[in-house]
Amino acid sequence: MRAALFLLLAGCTPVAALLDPPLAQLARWETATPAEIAAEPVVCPPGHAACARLHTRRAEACMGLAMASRAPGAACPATREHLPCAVQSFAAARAPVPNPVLAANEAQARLCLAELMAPAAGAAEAVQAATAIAESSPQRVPLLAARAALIAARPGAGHDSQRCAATLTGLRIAPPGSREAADLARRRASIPDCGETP
Amino acid sequence: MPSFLIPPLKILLIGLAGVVVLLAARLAGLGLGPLFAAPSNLAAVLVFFVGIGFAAFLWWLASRCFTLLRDPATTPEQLAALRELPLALPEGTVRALLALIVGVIGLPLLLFSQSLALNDAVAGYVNGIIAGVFGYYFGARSTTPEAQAARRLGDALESQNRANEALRNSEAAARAAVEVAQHPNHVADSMAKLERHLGVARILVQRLGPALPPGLIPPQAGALLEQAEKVLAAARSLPDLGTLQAATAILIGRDGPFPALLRAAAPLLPAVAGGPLGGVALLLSLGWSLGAAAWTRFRARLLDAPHDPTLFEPGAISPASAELRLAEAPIFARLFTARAAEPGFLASLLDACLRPDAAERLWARFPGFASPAEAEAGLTEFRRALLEERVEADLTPELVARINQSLSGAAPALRPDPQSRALLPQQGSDEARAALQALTLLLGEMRESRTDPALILVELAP
Repeated sequence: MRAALFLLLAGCTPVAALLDPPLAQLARWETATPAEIAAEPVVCPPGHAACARLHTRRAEACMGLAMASRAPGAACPATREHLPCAVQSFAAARAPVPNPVLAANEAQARLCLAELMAPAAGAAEAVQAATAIAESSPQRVPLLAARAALIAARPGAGHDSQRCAATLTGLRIAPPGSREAADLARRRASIPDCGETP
Repeated sequence: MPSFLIPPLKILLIGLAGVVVLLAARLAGLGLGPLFAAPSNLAAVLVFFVGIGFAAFLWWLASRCFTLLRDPATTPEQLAALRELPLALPEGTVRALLALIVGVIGLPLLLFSQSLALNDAVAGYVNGIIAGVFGYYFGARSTTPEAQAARRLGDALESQNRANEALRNSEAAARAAVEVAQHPNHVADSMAKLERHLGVARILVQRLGPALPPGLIPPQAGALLEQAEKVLAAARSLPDLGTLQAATAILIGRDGPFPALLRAAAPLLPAVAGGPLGGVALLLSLGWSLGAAAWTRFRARLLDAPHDPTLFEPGAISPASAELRLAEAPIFARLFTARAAEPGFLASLLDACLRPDAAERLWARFPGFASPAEAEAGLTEFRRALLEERVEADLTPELVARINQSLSGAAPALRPDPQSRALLPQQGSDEARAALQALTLLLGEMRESRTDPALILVELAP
């Protein structure tokens, strides 16, 4: 890899690409557009030092494309396009070494994906996001956990008891005064036998 | 070996290697005598070693840079940030390096200029270079505050300043009340009170009145204002306490423009504990106490302003949150509640509603509306529900409690219930809405002039 790195730095990209394809892909992506990166799968043998960065680069590109299509003020895009790519790439990027930023981004991508599913499937996806949320940076956990709880508490996401439990869990952790906290309180009030009515 | 011992050991070994080289040279008969034979030789050797030293330093920095590049934990953002830096080194490193080179070489040259037989002109040049480099280096040490942090800090400071100002005003009002109680015939206080209410009356009668529906401002308000202006002008040369108090009583009494407008807006807040007038008074005082961003949302809500994406924090509204707003938007609730469980439906609906051409998108992509006008009406209801949730969150219980306290000295009709929570106005007649909008514009003027409406409200006798 060292030889390839020096060749790369010296400008001999074709030779470097032969010696070390992942490093060559990384070098190519330095100047590629997000759309080009998102369209090209990561080719990297397990254990290669450049794999994590390649997956991160692709995850950021996919997430950037997905989020760029959002309406002003919206938390999530209106279509699934690029979200599965972001989820898979973030998961692959943080697999070797835990990374709170990547975990938070993966959680956000999963939650957006969950928002685009039917309530029951969305609740299942929100459960899958729980692992990533738990490994996120502490300052992002409350908001992400509250949003996950809100998805899990949607009508049709499960039995009322499950929805109520999700709401109460979310309320405990939601940032005080946030939109999510107010939404969870309102949702709790709409679930029978789950607290006060509005 | 513990890792923290490695760097000092490396330095020690490098030093030992240098000593070994010198000893070897001595054993080989290569003395250092010629070096010290002339000062210029010594200076040349010094410059040479300084150059070697900096080359080694740069090599060390480059090796650290490669280590960083190879580190899997290095993110693309960090790499991108590095690319924008000179030599991919932390900001200021190159500047510091240049200053060091000039300092380490230039200062000895300057100090030993006599020994090195440099003439005054050369010493002057060296002095100029050193002064220039050091002047630039220390002069350029300025930091650029991060814009977003500065904005948030400014907002928080403004909010804090308003809270402090409210406290100061409350204290001043309390002191004034005590003063008036002790000296009831204080002319200056009466003049100040009349001036305060004249300021409000001028805005309402002269600036807002012409745009309001007839009857909202009492017809005789113009004449009353003119009369009060004359009384105040006369009092400046020949104060007459009785006339001053009479003119003020008319402005703050039932027929005054401000009380009349408060009464007209009151039907929009029928459910507020303490009475609708108390609700309007509470709402105005709350609006005065909000920070800049919260005030913008509050004003937009009360004025029924067109949708503005900047009222919401970026990326704040999720489809699950939007689902809860459906119930507050009757047209959308009727058409879309049954479809809310369809995969992606809420996200598409929210996306359409937040776009600039939302009404056209809704009409084109979401069947069920009777007409484009109904699509637009539904959109307005939904956006209003989104904004209302944010405004309600801005009006925290702590803030409401503080404002309740500040209005505790107002007339009973204007006094909100101490336990009341702020309620935003409901739908009502055009006159009531116009009155509330006029009060909102008045509040904007009061915020500009830093006049606490609570001070005015506690003196009213509606």
